[in-house]
Amino acid sequence: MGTRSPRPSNLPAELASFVGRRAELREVKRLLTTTRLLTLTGSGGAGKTRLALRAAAEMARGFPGGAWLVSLASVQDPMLIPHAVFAALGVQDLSADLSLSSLTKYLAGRRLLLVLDNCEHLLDGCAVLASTLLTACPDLRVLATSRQALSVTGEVRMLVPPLTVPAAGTRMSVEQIVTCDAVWLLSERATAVVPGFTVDAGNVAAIAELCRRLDGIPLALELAAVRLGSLSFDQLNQGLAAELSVLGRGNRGAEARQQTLEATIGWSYGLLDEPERRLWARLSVFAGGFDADAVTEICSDPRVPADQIAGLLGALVEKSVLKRHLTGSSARYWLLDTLRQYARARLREHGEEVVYQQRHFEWICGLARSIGLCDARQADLLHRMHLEHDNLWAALEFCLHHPENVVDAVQLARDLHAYWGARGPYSDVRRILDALAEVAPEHSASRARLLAMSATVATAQNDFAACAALSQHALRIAADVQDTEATVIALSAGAWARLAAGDVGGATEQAESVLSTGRLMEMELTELEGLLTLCGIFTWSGELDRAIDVGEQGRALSEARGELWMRGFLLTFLAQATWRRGDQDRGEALAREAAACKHALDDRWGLTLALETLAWMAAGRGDHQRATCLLGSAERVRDDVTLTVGELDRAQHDQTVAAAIRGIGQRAFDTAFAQGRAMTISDGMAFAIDNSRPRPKPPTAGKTEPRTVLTRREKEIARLVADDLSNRQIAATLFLSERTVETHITNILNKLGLNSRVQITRWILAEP
Amino acid sequence: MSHDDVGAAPARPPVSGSAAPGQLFVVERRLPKASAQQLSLLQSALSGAAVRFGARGDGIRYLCSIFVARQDRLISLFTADDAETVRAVNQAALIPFGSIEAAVELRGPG
Repeated sequence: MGTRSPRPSNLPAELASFVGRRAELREVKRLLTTTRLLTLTGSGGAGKTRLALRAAAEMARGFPGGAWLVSLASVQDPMLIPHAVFAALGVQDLSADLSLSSLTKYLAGRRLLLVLDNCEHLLDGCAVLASTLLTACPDLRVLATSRQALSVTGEVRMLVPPLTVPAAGTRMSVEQIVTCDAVWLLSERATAVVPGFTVDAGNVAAIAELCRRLDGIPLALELAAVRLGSLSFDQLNQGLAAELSVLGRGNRGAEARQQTLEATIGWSYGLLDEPERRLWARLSVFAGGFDADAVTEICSDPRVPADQIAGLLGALVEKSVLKRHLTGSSARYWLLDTLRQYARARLREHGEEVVYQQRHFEWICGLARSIGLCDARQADLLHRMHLEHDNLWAALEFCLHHPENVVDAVQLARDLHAYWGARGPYSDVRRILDALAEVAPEHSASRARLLAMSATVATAQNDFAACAALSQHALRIAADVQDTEATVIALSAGAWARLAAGDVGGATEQAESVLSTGRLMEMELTELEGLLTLCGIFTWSGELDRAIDVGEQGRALSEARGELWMRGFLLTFLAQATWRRGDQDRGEALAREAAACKHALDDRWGLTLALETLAWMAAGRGDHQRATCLLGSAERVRDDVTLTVGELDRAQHDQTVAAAIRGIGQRAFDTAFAQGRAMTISDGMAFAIDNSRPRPKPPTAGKTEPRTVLTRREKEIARLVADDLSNRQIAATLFLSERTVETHITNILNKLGLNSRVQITRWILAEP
Repeated sequence: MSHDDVGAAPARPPVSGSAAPGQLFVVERRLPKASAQQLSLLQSALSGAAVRFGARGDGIRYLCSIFVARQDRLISLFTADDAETVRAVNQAALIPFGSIEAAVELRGPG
C-alpha cells in the first residue's frame, strides 16, 4: 500500500470531566508503549471505557494512523465485529473477500491504535480478531476493554480498580478526604446538580459513607450524585442501605462490586416514576443511539404517552440513565451498556421484550420504505439510515429469530437496495440475505426475492460466479411461484453475470426483459433498472448509439423522480458512451456530474467508476499527468471500500495505465499516481471537477436568491468547507459537535440546491 | 454437491440438536478467489477459535480443512458434541459459512 496522509480519529469528545485515575492513566500509557495488546478489565461501571478513551486521546498524536474507537456494545453477532472495525475507521467493506482478510490488508502498514470497547459479550470473536490483526499488522496496537481478559498470547491485562474511597473508622480531615478519587467524582457531579456544592465538615462523613457503600464504583457514584437535587446525603445513604442490605460486607471482589452496581441501578430504577421506568425498559430495544421521534414511535402507549416522551427523556438524562448528544436543534440519546442490560431484563420481566422489538423492527421498515421510494430525499435518507446502522442490524437479527416477519424483511431488504448498494457492507448484507432466505419457506416469493437480491450484491462484489448461481436459483423458484418482482431482480443481476462471461446477447435479452416488464407492469423503478442495465451493456459492447438512447431515457426518468443512486451509474455509462462516440467535452461533463451524484450519497464504489472514467478521458486526450492522478485518486477511494478494479473495467484501466506510462515515463507515472492516491476523497473530487472545465449540472434543482438564504453560521461553515477542512476540523475550529456541522452542511446544500462540498467551494469562490 | 448448490445455498442451516459425542461435522463455505494468505488466515482463525472452545471443555476439535480451488469451496471438519458448538466456533472465527452438517467418516484401508 502507498503512503497515506494522516487520518483524523473518531474518539468522542468527553461529555463530563475526567476525574482522578492519574496513576491508572500513567500506567495505561506506559504499558501501551511496550505492549501491543492491553486489556483493561474490571467490573461494570468501573470506568474502563473512560480510562481507555482518555489514554487513547492523549496518545493519539503518537500514531500517524490515528486512534480509533470501536464500540462493540451494540454488536450481538460476532460475525459483525470486522464490520464494526471498518465502520469505526470510516471504511466501507465492499469486497467479496473474507472481511477479516480485508481488514488485515487494510490495516497492514498502518500505525494506529484501535480501542475495542465492551468486548465481554463477544470475547471469543474479539480474541480471534485481536490475534489475527496483531499477527498480520505489526504496527497496530490494540487497547481493549472487557470484564474479562481476551486470553490471547501476548496480552497484558490491567485491572481497573474502583476509585479510592476514604477508609472506614479513620479520622481524616476534609482536605484529606477530598483527595480520594471517589469523593472527588461525587463532588464534581454534585456540583452540576447543586450549584455551589462543597464538601465540608457538615457533610463529609455522609459523603465518605456513601462512597464506601458504593464501593467507589464510578457509575454507581454518578447515579447517586444526580439524586442530590432532591435527596440529601443521609437520605441517599438510607435508601441505598436498604437496597444493598442483602449483599454481604465481606470480601469486595469483582463479583461483589458488580452486585453493588446492579443494586445501585435497581435503587435508581426504583426512584423513577412508573412512566420513566417503563420508558427506560423499552429503550433497551435500541442498538446504538436513538432520537425522540423514534422513541415516540416505538415506546409510547397509554402508560408512556407520546406527548410526555420529550419530558421523560429529559428526566432520564438528568438522572444519568441516558446520555444525550446535541447537534444543532436535534438530540440523540443512548444508554450505557450496563444500564441497557438492566433495562432489557426489566422489559423481559414485564413480558414486553418481543412486543417492543417488533415495534423497533417495524420502525426500521418504515425508515427503509422512505428510502425505497427513491426520490429527491435520497441523500438525506441514506445519511439518516447510516445513523441508524446499529438499529438496522439489530432489527435484522430480530427477524432471523422471528421468521413470521420474513415477508416484511424481504420488503425491507428491497427498500434498502440503494442504501446497501452505496454503503455496503456487501459480505454481511449477502450473509443476512442468505440467512433470511433460509428461514423463508422453500418455494416462496420471499426466498426467490432474497436470493435475487443476494445475486445483485454479488454483482457489486465482482463475484459473478455467485451472481450467476444465485440468480438462476432465484429464477427457478420465481417461475414456480410466478413472482414478477423476484424475476426482474434476478434477470437484472444475472445480466451482469452474463456480460462478465462475454455473453452480450444473453445479457441484453435479460435486461430487455426487465425493461419491458417494468413498462408493462408500470413499475417505474424496474423500468429504470432495465434502462440502466442496458446502458451499461451497450456501452461495454460498443453499441454506443443504443447506449446513449437508453441512457438518456433513464436519466430523464431518474431526474423526474429526483433519485441519485441509479443516475450516477447512468451518467457514468452515458459519459463513457459519449466519449467513445467522439464527444470528449460532453463525456467529461457527464462523468463529473456522475461523480457529484455519487459523492452526494457517499457511494464510494460509484465514485471510483466516475473517477476511472475521467482518467480514461484525460488519457484519451493526451493529458497523462492528470489521468494518472485520477487513477491514483480512484485507487485511494477503492482502498476505502476494499475493492479492486472491476472485471468489466479492467481492460480499459490497463490500457490507460499503459498509455500513461508510455506518455510520461514510469517514474513520473509513479509520482503522479502516488499524489492522486494521497488525496482525500474531497481533494480527489475537487481535482476531478476542475475549474477550467464546464461546471457539472447539479442533480437537484437550484433555488433562487441563495446568497440571502444562508445564516451567519452556515456561511461561516461554508467558508471553512471551501478551505477544505473536514467536518471534524470544522467542529474543532468552531467548538461544535461534528454532527452539528453535518446538519449545517446538509442545510447549506439544500438551501443552495447543491449536492457536494465541491459545489459549496465554487459558490464561496464566486461570492463578491 | 454442485457448484450451483454451493452458490445458491444460503447460510444458517437448521440445527437438529445434539448428536453422539465426538460426532463428525462438515462445514462448507465459499471462498471466491482465495489466496494462500487468506487460507492461512482462515486456518489460524479456525484453529484459534476451536482451541479456545476446547480449552473450556466444550468438546470440540478442529481436524482440518480442504480447499477446492476450482469450485471456490472450503470444507472444514470438526468433531464436536453438537452442531451448535460447531456453529459457535465458526462464528467466533469470524469466517462466514454456508452449511454445517453431521457426517460419517469412511476410512480407507491401511
